[in-house]
Amino acid sequence: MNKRNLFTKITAISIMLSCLICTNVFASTGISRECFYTTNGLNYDQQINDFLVGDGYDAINDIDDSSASNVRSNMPSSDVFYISTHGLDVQYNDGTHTYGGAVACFNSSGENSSTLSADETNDNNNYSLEGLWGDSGSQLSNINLAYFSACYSAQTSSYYGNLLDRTVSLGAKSSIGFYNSVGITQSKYFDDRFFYHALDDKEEVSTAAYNALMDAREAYGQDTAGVESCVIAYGSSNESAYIYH
Amino acid sequence: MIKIKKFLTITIGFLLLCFILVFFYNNKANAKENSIKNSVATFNNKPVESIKILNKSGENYELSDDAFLYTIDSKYRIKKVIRKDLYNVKIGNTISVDETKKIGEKFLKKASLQLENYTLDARKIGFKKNETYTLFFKFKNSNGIDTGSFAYVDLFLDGTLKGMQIHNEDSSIAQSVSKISKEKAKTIVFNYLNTNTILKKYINDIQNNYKLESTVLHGNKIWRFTTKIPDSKYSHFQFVYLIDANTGEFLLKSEPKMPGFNNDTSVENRFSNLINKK
Repeated sequence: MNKRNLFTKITAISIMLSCLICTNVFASTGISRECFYTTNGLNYDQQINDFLVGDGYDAINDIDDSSASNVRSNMPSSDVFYISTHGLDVQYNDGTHTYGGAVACFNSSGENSSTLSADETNDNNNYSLEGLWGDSGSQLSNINLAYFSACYSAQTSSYYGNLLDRTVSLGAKSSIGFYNSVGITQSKYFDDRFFYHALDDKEEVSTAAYNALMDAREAYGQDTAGVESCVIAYGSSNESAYIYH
Repeated sequence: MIKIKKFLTITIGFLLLCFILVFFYNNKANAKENSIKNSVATFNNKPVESIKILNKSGENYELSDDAFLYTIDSKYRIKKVIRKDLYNVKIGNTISVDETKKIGEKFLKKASLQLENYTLDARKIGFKKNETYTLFFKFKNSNGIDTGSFAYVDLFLDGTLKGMQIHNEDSSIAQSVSKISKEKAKTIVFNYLNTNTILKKYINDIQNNYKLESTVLHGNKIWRFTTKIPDSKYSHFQFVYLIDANTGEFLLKSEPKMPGFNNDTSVENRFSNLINKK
């Protein structure tokens, strides 16, 4: 009788210990996901946060410090990285422009204080991905999607490089940007719809982006203001990417 | 004994009636289901049995076959078609933009759209692997007035269908008289442009280079003001201002996501209400 009691107790304790071990293993293998997102300097509310939290993301919207150094340092730990801000162009002495490759970042006072770029430059206020992590590697391999919601963010600048190519060469599974200038209102709507389709409808990122474009056309008719220039880059070993739990 | 007979007669009669009703409604439901599937079968030339109804979303129905997802409206008209495997498409030989026109028209005709008065803008958009041909059909009434109805057909560079969508407006709205005149709409827009530091610099250029036309969006007659400004920073961007032709209120200020421009929440909320009201 005593032996049977002892056996029952040992079994119960074993089951409890197994549960505890499993919980820790799942936690350390990334069951809890993180998204760093910022509507950097634009100061508008988006529904993105609701979709992320609804899907179980730990959504970090760092509104106090969206400087480029802080934004960049949050990238490696993010499963999804989203920044909505102004795109950049550089004017050379001969009057020609080169577009994209970098986005504007704002400090805690809301001032456009620094830039986040793909390639390293001589500018002290520019924080590049290449400068910290080199040309390629696996430093951003945690990222399923890096989303640069800004004008020209998909273009290759002769000064700043290409943000989408750089993020996927550093390990991100996919990355999104816009080739042309985009409208503030329409890109905000497009981004919200993208996250709705990717998270609520559990669509692959290309399908989610195309459905978001169709939603923008349905809402704004012919005035989609550049969101149709959305470009998606995949990492070399990825032909698709998903961000839902 | 008589009571039992009465009870049995009523019960059997009731069951018979229920059976007839269930049979009738089943047939009606099957007929409706077939009508919905037929609108897709007409488009894809595939047997009705290969088409599945996935769900009903609001007034619309969502269906699928082996390659595409379809959205059908309450009048069983095709609203949206989208290819399922967008991320894994192998493209064949590239066709020219001129060759896309006939292909686009063919798809719209298969969606039972009347192609009479329209303008077509066909262009290549995107970059690298994301390039597609986008065909924008804008429909006009017999007087040449923009009805607000439009269609987009997106093709991969080899001419195969990526997706398409059709937006229908009530064509009688385009003919209705606007409470806000064209001149008044112009004044409203220019008054606003003068309040923006960047746009103010280009007022003279804008006065010589703008379009103001009436159209319809989400059941509302609107004035659509479009312009570009001669600054290389914004050379790719078309500024658009939509004015409600009945109230004179802004429904959209389409401005670039660049320093010097901010979104107008009150205008955005008004536009959201317009979509939701519809």
